[in-house]
Amino acid sequence: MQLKHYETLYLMHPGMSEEDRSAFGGKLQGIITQSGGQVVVCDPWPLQRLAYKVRRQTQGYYVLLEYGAPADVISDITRELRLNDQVLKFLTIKHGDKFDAEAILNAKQSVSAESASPPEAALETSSSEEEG
Amino acid sequence: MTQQDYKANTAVRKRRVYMRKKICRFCADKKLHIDYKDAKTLRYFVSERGKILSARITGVCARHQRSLTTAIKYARHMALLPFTSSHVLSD
Repeated sequence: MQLKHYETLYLMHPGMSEEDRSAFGGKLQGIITQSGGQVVVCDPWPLQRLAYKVRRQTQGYYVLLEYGAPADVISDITRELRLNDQVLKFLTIKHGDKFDAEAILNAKQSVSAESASPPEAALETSSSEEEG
Repeated sequence: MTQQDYKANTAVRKRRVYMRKKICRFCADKKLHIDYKDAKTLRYFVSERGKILSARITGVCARHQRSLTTAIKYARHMALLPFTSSHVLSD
């Protein structure tokens, strides 16, 4: 089946242990790979402050998954995220109907290289901020 | 100079003062992408109250303003940006 390019960001309870979090991440990735999908990026963010309280919590762990999957997998992933009490929020976005793992990785690398190297780019953005 | 002339003059002058051409940040810098996960950047396009600023104020072009709006709404949903300042955590 044709793979589409998706991205899921979910927010986990701050009281969760690291093992539990990685186990849940593994479970989601298992769902994707079992159906013939491919996970490109799995990026757990460090503990972060939330903009507002979610279920009385002021902090949480975000995890970003970027993957290619057939369209019907999304309902499975959504169900999994809904059923887990420890997931406070989640959001799945389709980036496109075409999935190319290498292109995604290349784009990521070029972006990170750019943000790391040039100080002049930072200057440029700050000056345009003043204008706005 | 009649009073009318004077009025017309000031009107023209005033308009000139405010007619500064604003450039869309995202058009000027093609590397810059609008991403709902990048709350730091999105904050520039949100008022202190958390409202989305109009393109007239920020100078963003219509096309990018549209994607900016959805990005801000995604970010709000994920608790990356506040819906309103009254919900912001105070500690």
